[in-house]
Amino acid sequence: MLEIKNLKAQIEDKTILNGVNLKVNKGEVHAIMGPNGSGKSTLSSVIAGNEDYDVSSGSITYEGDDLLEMAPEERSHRGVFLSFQYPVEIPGLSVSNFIKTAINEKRKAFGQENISAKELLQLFKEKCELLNIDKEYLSRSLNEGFSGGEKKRNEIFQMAMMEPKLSILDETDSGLDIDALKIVANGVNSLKSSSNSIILITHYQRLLNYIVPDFVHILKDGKIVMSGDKSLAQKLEKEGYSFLN
Amino acid sequence: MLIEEIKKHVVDTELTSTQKKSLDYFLENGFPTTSDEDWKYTPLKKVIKRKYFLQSSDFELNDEIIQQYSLGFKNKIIFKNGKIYSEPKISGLSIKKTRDLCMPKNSALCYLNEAICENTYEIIFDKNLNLDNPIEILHFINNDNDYFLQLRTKITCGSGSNVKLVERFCNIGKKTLINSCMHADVKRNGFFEISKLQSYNDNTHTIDNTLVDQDRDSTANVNTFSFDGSFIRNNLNFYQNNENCTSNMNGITIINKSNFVDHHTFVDHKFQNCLSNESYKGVYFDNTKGVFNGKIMVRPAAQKINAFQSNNNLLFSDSASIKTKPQLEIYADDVKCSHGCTIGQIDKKSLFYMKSRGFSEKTAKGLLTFAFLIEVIEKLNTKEIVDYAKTEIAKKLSIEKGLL
Ligand SMILES: Nc1ncnc2c1ncn2[C@@H]1O[C@H](COP(=O)(O)OP(=O)(O)OP(=O)(O)O)[C@@H](O)[C@H]1O
Ligand SMILES: [Mg+2]
Repeated sequence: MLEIKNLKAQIEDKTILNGVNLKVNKGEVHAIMGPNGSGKSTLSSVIAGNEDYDVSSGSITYEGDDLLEMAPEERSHRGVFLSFQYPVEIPGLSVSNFIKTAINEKRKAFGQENISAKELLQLFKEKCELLNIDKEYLSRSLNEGFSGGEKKRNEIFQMAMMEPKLSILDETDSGLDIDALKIVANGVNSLKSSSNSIILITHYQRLLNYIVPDFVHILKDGKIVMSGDKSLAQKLEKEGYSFLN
Repeated sequence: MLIEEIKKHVVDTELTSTQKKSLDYFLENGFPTTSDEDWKYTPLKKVIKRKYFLQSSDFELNDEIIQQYSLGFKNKIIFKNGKIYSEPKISGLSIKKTRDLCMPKNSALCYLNEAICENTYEIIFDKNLNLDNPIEILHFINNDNDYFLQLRTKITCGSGSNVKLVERFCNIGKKTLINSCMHADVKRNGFFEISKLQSYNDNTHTIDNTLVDQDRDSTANVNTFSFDGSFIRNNLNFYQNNENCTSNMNGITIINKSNFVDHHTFVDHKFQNCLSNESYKGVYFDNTKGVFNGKIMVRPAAQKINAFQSNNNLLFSDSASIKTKPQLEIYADDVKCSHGCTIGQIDKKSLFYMKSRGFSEKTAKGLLTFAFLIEVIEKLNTKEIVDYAKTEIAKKLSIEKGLL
């Protein structure tokens, strides 16, 4: 599904990613952990296509194609989804109109008709139930005045609506209360299948109790310095990052 | 030069004493120049350099053309080159032509208008007349020669009446400079609203002077949509002449090419317990220029008033510019006044967020811009007008209207 080779990225003159290698197959869940500032969000931004970062070398292959050649919207149409660590607020644009347009932009890219009102309503209903979201909230402005946890839940709601192939969840667990974490994790689990993949970026072992990763990687100073199975996360939780030294 | 044309024109016109006085005033002062504080950023000089004729000719008007410019309201007052062409039959509404009508003025152009306008109309809405639907005022313009046209209307909203108007200048002819003066006199407990649809072709320059006098317990709303026009200057004044008046101004400007739009507004708070609420949003593409100057005067007797003003702008191009200036003069102490102006660009983070959700650049920018404007659009209470605004906005943003 996704293969990252020796990826280096910088902003202005500062190197942030310094040779990342990562291979994610269909149906796999990968967790990426690592200290603050190690480059986790930068990696997810580069995968999603943020042009603020310059990729100086390396490659990203997605379903056999060069991902770096694609515009961000094209990546989205092809099934790449990033749940932002810091989702933006857009006053004046409702959650429902935002999601409807996102769905239709993708359909348009594939030469399909707009989603019918009935179909959309059904989808909203289903996914609201899945994530325990009050329907009233669809008419609110996107993320405006949402609490930290609500913003994160909204990201997963969008993920549920868009049914991506590769989801990158950047610290979706931070800011969620214990109940919300369970709901969101359940939601993610129910979206998981043998044909899609998930990259979880997190600081905490707790999320990984709910969404069990096949692999855990540690990113440090812009490089993956260690990989293992879920026990690596448990070790980290106990010992912190000092054992890396 | 235009001023020479004016002098030539008045030689063989018989003027009333009011007109004569106004003419003298105008000729003494001339057209405003950039050394006048209120016209500092307004390229009027370029506009009046052209040769225009003041003489008007007649033309044929048909339903097809009217439909093209109408928002579809049943009742229309239609003018041809400033002369009344048709009027609706509504009991409680009367329209009459007058000559010697002195109206309040907010610029030298109003003096000129008073001096040389040959067709002054009084539109009178009787007291307690309650109109369910807006009346459209359509001015069709088509002259044999390039044209300097004076429009002059006095509107009286009788006490307790409820009047909504939609005004549009439709130039289907040669190059035209329109100098329009409108005085609305809103009586006690009256409700008056006018929506100005400024979608002009490149042949049309406009100076729109609108003055609203308000009596006790009245409400007046002026919505100004500036979507097209190479030169638009709006002078909008509200005078609150008694207690408990509400004045609302909503403006949406979204222009491209080398167009120029200038809003000068003034609210005169003279009495207590009044409200004014002004919200102008502007979106500027290409080489456009915008001016916003919002003056609020709170006189000593105007205690316990609320005055809000905001002017927010989005610039889409490095060669677009906006000069914005709030001007508050407050002489009462127990008042609430707030004002704010912003000039910004589309937020890059939001743009990336939307693209990462599959939005094309055009759709993302379009929806972000519409979201920026929505606050003003939500204040509009007439379906047809919201629809007009959405159509024009979608056109400017090159997106389908269905997305909005
Ligand atoms: N736009 C930017 N401009 C300047 N520096 C940046 C920018 N984006 C990221 N950086 C820097 O790159 C480094 C990596 O940042 P990144 O956000 O990827 O870290 P992270 O691993 O996600 O951290 P956290 O765990 O705190 O979320 C940090 O030192 C950060 O300051
Ligand atoms: Mg991060």
